[in-house]
Amino acid sequence: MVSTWARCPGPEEQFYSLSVCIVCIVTAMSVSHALLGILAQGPAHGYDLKREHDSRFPAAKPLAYGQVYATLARLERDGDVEIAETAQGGGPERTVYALTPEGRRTLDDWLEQAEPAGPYPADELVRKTITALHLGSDAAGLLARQRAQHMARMRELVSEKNAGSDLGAQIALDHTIAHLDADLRWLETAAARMAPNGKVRT
Amino acid sequence: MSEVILSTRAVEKSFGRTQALRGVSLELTRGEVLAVTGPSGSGKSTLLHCLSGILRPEAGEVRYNGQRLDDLAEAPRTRLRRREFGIVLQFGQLVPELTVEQNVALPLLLEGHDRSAARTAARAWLDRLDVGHLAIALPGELSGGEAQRAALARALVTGPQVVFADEPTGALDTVGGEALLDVLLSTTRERGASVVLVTHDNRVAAHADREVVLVDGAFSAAGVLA
Repeated sequence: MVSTWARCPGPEEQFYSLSVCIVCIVTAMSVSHALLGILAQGPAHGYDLKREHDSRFPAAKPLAYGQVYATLARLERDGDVEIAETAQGGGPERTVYALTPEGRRTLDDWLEQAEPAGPYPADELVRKTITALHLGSDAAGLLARQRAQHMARMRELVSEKNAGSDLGAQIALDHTIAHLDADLRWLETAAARMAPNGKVRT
Repeated sequence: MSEVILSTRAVEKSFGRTQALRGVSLELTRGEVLAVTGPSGSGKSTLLHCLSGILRPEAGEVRYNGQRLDDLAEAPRTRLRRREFGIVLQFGQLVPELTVEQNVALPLLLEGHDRSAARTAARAWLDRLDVGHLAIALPGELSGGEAQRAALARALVTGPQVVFADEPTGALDTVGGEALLDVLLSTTRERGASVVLVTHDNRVAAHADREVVLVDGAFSAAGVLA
């Protein structure tokens, strides 16, 4: 059980033990496996891993170097990666990491397993809308403003997709766009359920 | 300031007791791609039909290049529509008895072009939209995506100034829909034509320069995006 204390990257930015902060666990897990996937194509140092990760997942938050090195340290401790070379030229020391056979098994297990569907907890949009309904404030206006915000983001992503040619980036953007579209459809359904007076239509 | 090519002012349209459009005012500029979105039954297709001169509103006016379109008699309105507008519907609506090439040549033949010139133009557009090899096929032999490309060729063959597309990707899967939209927007943009794109799909609407949202026959102010 990992019990490191860290600042949660989630919106509340509180300090949690990694063993109890779901955001940290999920983020750490998916970053670890993504890095193992990059190392499966050949040894690399932290800088290259960060660059390749950010290029493969353009819609994801770019990795911080600290996060890359912390993840590599954990993977090394677990036997999934090893130090292949430590080069010291004129600049800072550069450690090249390589995938171990154990790391390959970890990666293959991850690739074989289907991910759980959800859960999709009530997020900020849902909380805000329901709070507005309970308070009798302008929930319909809130939904319309939120839709405009989502559509603006959808336009940015569609332009980005139209401009790009890399298949991996296109597929990653498809995923983000599909989720954004699901939110938009939820916003529209919620708006349709509300009568003009703000009461819920059932 | 951009030149307004098509506009409506306070347009109203009813079908029996149902009021489909309630005082809709809109301006479309040259070269602009406008998405019209909104729930089912909100009046999107009725607006498209009024804008394209297929339907006449009961009140308000529709102008094309400054000229009243809604008070033109049927024959000149049809001629203007055939010459200046291209229309693509959800299921292509090709004439089933005619070959693909004949379908595409049809608007030119109706305009009095000679048969050989119409065939050449039709073939060029079919080639351009990657369905030239289907020129002698009948519409019933085409996939949904192929039929939509043929319908797009038919809409573009007269060199229209405005293309109206009513759920053009509605019958296609995501990748097929994107490919059709790409060809629709690239061909119209390169010719400087305007597009009115009716859709309930936000991913399609996101390709437009501007979006208007219809709710119960009127624009939703909060849904209009600059």
